Amino acid sequence: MEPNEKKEKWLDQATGAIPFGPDRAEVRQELAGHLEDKEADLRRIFPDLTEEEAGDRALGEMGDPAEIGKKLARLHRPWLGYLWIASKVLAVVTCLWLVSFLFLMGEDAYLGDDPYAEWWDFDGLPRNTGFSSGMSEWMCYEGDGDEPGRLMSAQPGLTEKVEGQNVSLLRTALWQREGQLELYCYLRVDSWRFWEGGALREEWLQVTDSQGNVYPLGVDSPEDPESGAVLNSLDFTAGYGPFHRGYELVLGDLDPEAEWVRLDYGPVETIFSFTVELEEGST
Amino acid sequence: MREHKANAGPAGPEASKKGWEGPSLPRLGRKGKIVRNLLLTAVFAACIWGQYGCPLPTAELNFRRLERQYFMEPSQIVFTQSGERDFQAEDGTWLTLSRTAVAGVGEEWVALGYNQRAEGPMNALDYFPLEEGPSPVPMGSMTLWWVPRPGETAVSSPLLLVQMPEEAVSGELEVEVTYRDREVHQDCPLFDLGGGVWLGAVDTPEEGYAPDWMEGGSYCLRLYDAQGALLLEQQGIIPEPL
Repeated sequence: MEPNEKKEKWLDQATGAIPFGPDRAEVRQELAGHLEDKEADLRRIFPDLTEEEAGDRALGEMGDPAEIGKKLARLHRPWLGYLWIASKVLAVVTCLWLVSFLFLMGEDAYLGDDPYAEWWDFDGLPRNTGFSSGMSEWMCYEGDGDEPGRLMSAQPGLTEKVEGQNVSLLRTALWQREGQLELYCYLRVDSWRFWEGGALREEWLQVTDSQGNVYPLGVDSPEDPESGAVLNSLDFTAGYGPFHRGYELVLGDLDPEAEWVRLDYGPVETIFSFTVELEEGST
Repeated sequence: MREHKANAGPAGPEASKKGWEGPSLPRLGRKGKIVRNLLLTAVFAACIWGQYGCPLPTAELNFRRLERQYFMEPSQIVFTQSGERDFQAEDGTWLTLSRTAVAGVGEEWVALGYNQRAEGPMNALDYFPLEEGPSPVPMGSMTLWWVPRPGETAVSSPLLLVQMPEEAVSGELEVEVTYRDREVHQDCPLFDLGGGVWLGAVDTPEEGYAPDWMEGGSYCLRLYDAQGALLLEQQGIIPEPL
């Protein structure tokens, strides 16, 4: 038998019992390296040894391949290897599946090209405002402070915890335009449970002011006599993400005598309520 | 044991050959790689689940989620129908609802969860006032198919009735609805589904109709016991959602 054949046979015996293929190949390579090192050492120490003799002696010093094989098989548990392969396949498949949404669903993909989609609301401003003159949400609530039409802007930061979710009244702004008072309120629902993010319903929000006026919203709202647009609404396009949903309440014709506006939410009983203080100049 | 070599920065001839490499992450063992891959899989799977609208395995679980989404207390589920599956009334009549629907009774309301779309998880939840006795819940966005006699199928709009007395074995339901300036008066078949829940089959208008076409109409309900004696007579308005 050729020295190489002996070596191969020894390596086959020593690693044959390792059930997981990638481990078997790795251990085989490592053992082959040890054998070569041992052979080289023997030939350096005993220069008279032939290649075959050095190979035989190295194999003898390595030990019984069957015994080594048993120990190695116990050490290299196959389930861990299979689990590793399975986890790799799973990660790649789910990644490809997810990427395919971008190609198949395009703009319909959640948080895709929707202009109101955002991973998180960092600035506490809505993505869109009901301000009809084209002014941005930043100008509506913050601006540079000297807009003549803006009578008030505030960050009430009121939060109520309801059924494990946080409902907040983050921003308010009061404007005077064409002889009418307009109130803007930015509400947001936050929850880490992205699979059941809270939602507000326009028909469940009752808006009243200190004068006893009731402001019907949406289909029940009075309309602007010129444009026919509803004056009061709860707009749900104020931005959304996996962990939040933004809403903007717009009251288009607020009573100038009103000192505060109360928002009561709930179909039968009130689930939460916020009060917006209307103090001019409290920017 | 594998060694972790800290990056030495751009100095030296080796660095100039390979170029500067940023701080390297520690090399993971097999267990570490498995954990990392499974974590990545979980994140990807959660995103995929989100893309499908986060469906839950049962209609009841989807209904409970909708209740939490609208900040409502959990109601007592009295009716569940998943998808377009046939079910049988107490009198043996076969019925089919076009969409998944779940109804629950709360302290002052009846919650009706249903699917507005043909696919995906249940996504709509309406609340109707709960009356002292039997309470009607219009299901105008759904279609009810039922078999009046073998080989024949009737198509109707379902009207769910909850809190029906257990002693009732038969009943009559008259419905009067004015829809698009046309008055519709009809006697509707009633099906006892058990557990105090009945289903009325209201004939739909001939032309196209809106899901809320029944709401605001009046009804008269008469229930009879096993001896055929009148048990209850109730008149009222088919409610709109709260």
